[in-house]
Amino acid sequence: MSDHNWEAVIGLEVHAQLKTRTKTFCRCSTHFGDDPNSNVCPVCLGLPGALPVLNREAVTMAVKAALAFGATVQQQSIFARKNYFYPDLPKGYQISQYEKPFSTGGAVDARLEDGTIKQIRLIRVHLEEDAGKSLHTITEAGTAVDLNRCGTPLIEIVSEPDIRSATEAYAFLYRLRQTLLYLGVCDGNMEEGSLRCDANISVRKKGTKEFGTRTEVKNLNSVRGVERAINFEAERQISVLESGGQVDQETLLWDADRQVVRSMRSKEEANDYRYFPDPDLLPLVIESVWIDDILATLPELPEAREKRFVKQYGLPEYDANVLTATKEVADYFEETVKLARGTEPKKVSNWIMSEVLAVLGDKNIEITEFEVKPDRLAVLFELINKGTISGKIAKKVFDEMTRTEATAEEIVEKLGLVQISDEGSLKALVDKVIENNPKQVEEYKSGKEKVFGYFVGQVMRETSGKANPQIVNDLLRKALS
Amino acid sequence: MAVSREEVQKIAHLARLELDEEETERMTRDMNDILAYVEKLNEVHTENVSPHSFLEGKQTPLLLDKVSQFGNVSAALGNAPKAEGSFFIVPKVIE
Repeated sequence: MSDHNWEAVIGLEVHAQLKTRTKTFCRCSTHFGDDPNSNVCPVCLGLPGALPVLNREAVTMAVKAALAFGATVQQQSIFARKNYFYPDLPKGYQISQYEKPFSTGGAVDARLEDGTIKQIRLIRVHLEEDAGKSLHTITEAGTAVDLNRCGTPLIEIVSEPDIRSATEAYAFLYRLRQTLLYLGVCDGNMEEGSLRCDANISVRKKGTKEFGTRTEVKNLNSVRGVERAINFEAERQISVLESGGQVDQETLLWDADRQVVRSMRSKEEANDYRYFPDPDLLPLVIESVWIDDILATLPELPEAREKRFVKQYGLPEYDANVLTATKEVADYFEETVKLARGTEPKKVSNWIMSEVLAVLGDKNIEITEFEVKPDRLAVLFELINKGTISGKIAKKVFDEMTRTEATAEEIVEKLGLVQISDEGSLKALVDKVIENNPKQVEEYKSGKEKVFGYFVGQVMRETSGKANPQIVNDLLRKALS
Repeated sequence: MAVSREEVQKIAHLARLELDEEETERMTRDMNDILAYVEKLNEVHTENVSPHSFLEGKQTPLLLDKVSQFGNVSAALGNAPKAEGSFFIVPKVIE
């Protein structure tokens, strides 16, 4: 924040779509992208007489997330109806949890840019169902409604107002999303709406205890968008207050195209949802044996894995953090280290961070879609370790591997890239280079150390980069001394 | 406990109902009668009864996450006043 007398007080509400096969209260498919209204039934259409039956897997996934955040899972919780009218909500209410959510407390350990961890507490996590989709512009006839998404399970994760800046909000959301992805309970795609975030924002003079009047900003559809929207809104509130005005308690929409917030017109009585317990549903009981079963399936979480990478593989914290960003990259690293026996883990780490991740970026693919699997990469390391190829040539081989299905060995053979380590033939080349460059030899001998690289380069050029760099160095030193 | 005309108007608005003077009058009277009747229940002592005692030992049943499609789009759209393709169509919602 530009003004250092002020601080922001931020609480986030995150909706995460659970990756179940079927909906929360009916067995319609949750598959994304099917024909409009092909995954609907009397229950999710809200037809009279249809009754909801809860999806066991939705509860399991929700509990998994709650446990990962160290929350307390309630043995008994109840469902409530949240009443409001909107065309994509056919029942006229959303089934949610209000007074007794299934999970309370817990925290997210957000990793700030300087590497310190800030713990942001959670108020609650509750289970609810999603609404359908309204499409306002596809037909002249009116607003088109697709209810395929209607009834898809969501968890809502509500933080305490512990967040003090947009950067902290970013760090919170990053860790939250990362954890949900590690757990495999949500695909984390903010652009497609499987992860959505609303922010409650107020500002206050530093050192004061009371909260200022807050606004709620909705429509935050990327992790960076959340950071930008919070910065914008906090700055707006500060300038309103500094010019003697007052902040109105209202709901705002983030406009990502124009990078501004705008007022929602229909704010009138917007929050009068008249919650009451849903008479169609009995209490949800989560026995401790069930919780124990779920606990046993929790994977190693990002923070723990990062620490283990430092300890077990002797990696710098920076490497460990980059490699554990996603479970898939972390798995790829560990698998490669295991297969490329005798290779320094740091070497594998360097290779993945500079080569593999760059290729993924260029091709815009996930590591799981990457052609060069750990077993193929491990062979490449073996060739380096054995001295068959140099590190530099290995990059060439690797490039070739991303384009073909050939093994590293086949490529080395086919392109004749085997490293030249034969001292006799290298010595001849070294002598030739020295003979052909008397001027540089003069310079080198008069103390210009830098010229040494020139000789190395010349030998490499003569061998198309295949000369063993260590031997070339040794031979050159000897010949020039 | 009494419900005022204003409260009735507010509830009507939330339910997207338009009540004229005479209807508001009648609704206010009816709702007050209903509340007065329910008020009688307050005479029963319930200090030691849990709010869900009638559900004691009961819990919501759970189903496995196995797809079972209804698969009848035209039936789903059949009751809609307006449809186009396989979409429900409602009056344009203006943001």
